[in-house]
Amino acid sequence: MSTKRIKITFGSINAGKITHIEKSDIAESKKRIKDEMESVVRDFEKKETRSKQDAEGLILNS
Amino acid sequence: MEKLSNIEFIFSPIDEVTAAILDSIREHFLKERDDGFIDPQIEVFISEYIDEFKDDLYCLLEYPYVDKVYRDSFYNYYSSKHSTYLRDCIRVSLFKKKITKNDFINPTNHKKLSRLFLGFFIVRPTVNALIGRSIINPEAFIDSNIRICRFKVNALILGVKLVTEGFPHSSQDEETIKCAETTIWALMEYFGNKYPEYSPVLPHEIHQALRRFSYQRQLPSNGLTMDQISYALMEFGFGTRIYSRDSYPDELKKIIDYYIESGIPILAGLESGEMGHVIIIHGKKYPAAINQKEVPRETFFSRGKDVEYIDWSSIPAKYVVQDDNLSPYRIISLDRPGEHYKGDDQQKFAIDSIVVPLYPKIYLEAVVANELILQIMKDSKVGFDFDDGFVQRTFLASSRSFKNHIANLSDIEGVLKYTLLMARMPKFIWCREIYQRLSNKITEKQPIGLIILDATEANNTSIDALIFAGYPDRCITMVENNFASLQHRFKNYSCYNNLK
Repeated sequence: MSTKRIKITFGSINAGKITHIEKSDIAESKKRIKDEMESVVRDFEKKETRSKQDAEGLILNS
Repeated sequence: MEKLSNIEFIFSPIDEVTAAILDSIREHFLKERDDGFIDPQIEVFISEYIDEFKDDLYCLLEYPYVDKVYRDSFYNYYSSKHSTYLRDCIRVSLFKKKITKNDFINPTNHKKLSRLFLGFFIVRPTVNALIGRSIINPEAFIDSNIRICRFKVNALILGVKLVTEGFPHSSQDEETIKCAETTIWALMEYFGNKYPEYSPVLPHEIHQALRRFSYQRQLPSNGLTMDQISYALMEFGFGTRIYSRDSYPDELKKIIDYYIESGIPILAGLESGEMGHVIIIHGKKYPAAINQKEVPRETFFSRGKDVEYIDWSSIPAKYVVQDDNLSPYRIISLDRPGEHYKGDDQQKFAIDSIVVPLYPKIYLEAVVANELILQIMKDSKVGFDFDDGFVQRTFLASSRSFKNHIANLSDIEGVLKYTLLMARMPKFIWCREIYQRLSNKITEKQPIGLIILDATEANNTSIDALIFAGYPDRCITMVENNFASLQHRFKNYSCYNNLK
């Protein structure tokens, strides 16, 4: 029996257009980005603590 | 006890409204004084406030008006003093063109009134701090070519419900609310009226929220520190972030710009010597034309070469602020936030730190998000080798608003549109739009790239935050827990704006 229902999914919309990126390539990218970001995050955490301390100093009442 | 049993209304063109306000002050606020003398400074203050408005507006004054914010200060503070303080205010409503009393009586004219309505401001009976709460549409001001965070506000005037848009403002009363409390109030008024997650607060609720933090009396107010402001906002439901100038000497302006482009009003603490003040930055005024030479370039190293690019935050722009010592919507440069002050000390104000009221589940903040997106762009598998001179614009967006923007784009390819609309996204996303080059006009920009990150991702060193990347040769997205490349060119997308 025919149906009037139409289902759309990511797969049906992009059929034939999807190429999975090799997991080994992604793992390589993940490692590189993680290595680069570690120092960024460490630096950010230090600055976050210092910002909190700086914010205690000035009375805002003008 | 004198009882005023009716409300009095005065219709006035804007050029006569200063005199009308002064007459009302004399008649209602200073009625116990025989001479009716008004300090000339008050006259100058009101006159300067009114001068900021367009000169063809029409006004409607009403007295008595019960203002919720002043009444809160009255019952919690002024009524406990020996001197007599009045509890009623004057409300001044603003309209684009002439209105008459018949417009309110005739229901067919109510739509016209709503079209003309531009908001209101309150005149408090505290003669040394007259201008109270206001929500005024920027259209009422001479310099109205600005983009701001705004919300819809309802007002009932002569029984007619009128709606306009704006950002709340109030001057401090110098006793119950100083600049710190005023900015917290305005911020909560904005978020509380716009989003169901938050509620507007009154001055006593701000003091209550900070009671645990206080080791001495809270009234009269001595002001607050930035970390106390941050604490109060946390109590009111935000996940705040503090950024200080000493921690981010080179990046603070960029951080401010990212959040303003995100449509998130931020509190900026200003310092000049021992003097501290706080304002809300909530909008931007873009230059009509860009002088390319004035825009600094940045570089990063990728694929064996230095790549030159422009960060959107480097384009010289002015910012819109609510400063409780000045009229609403003053336009400042981040280098000179005190430029509208007359005093030498205030003119030297510099931004000391900022508090950003984020939705509590936004775990990925601006500094780390910026670096993470850059690393993704540089990557040979999930990035793209953009030509020298590209421009990047970074902002937070709610996925609902962003998807609505995508749905409304008419030129974008259907498959790409579906791909974006069907992508599972968290409540908030970080977006970076990439433009090929900087145009001379700010409006002439069509992104050639788009990167979307999950703003709720706490693992901020991970590529897993990547939701979508659109490049001129392909798109990247997650398919069944694996990253996949889609054979679609990213094109015909138009830029998204959080500011209206």
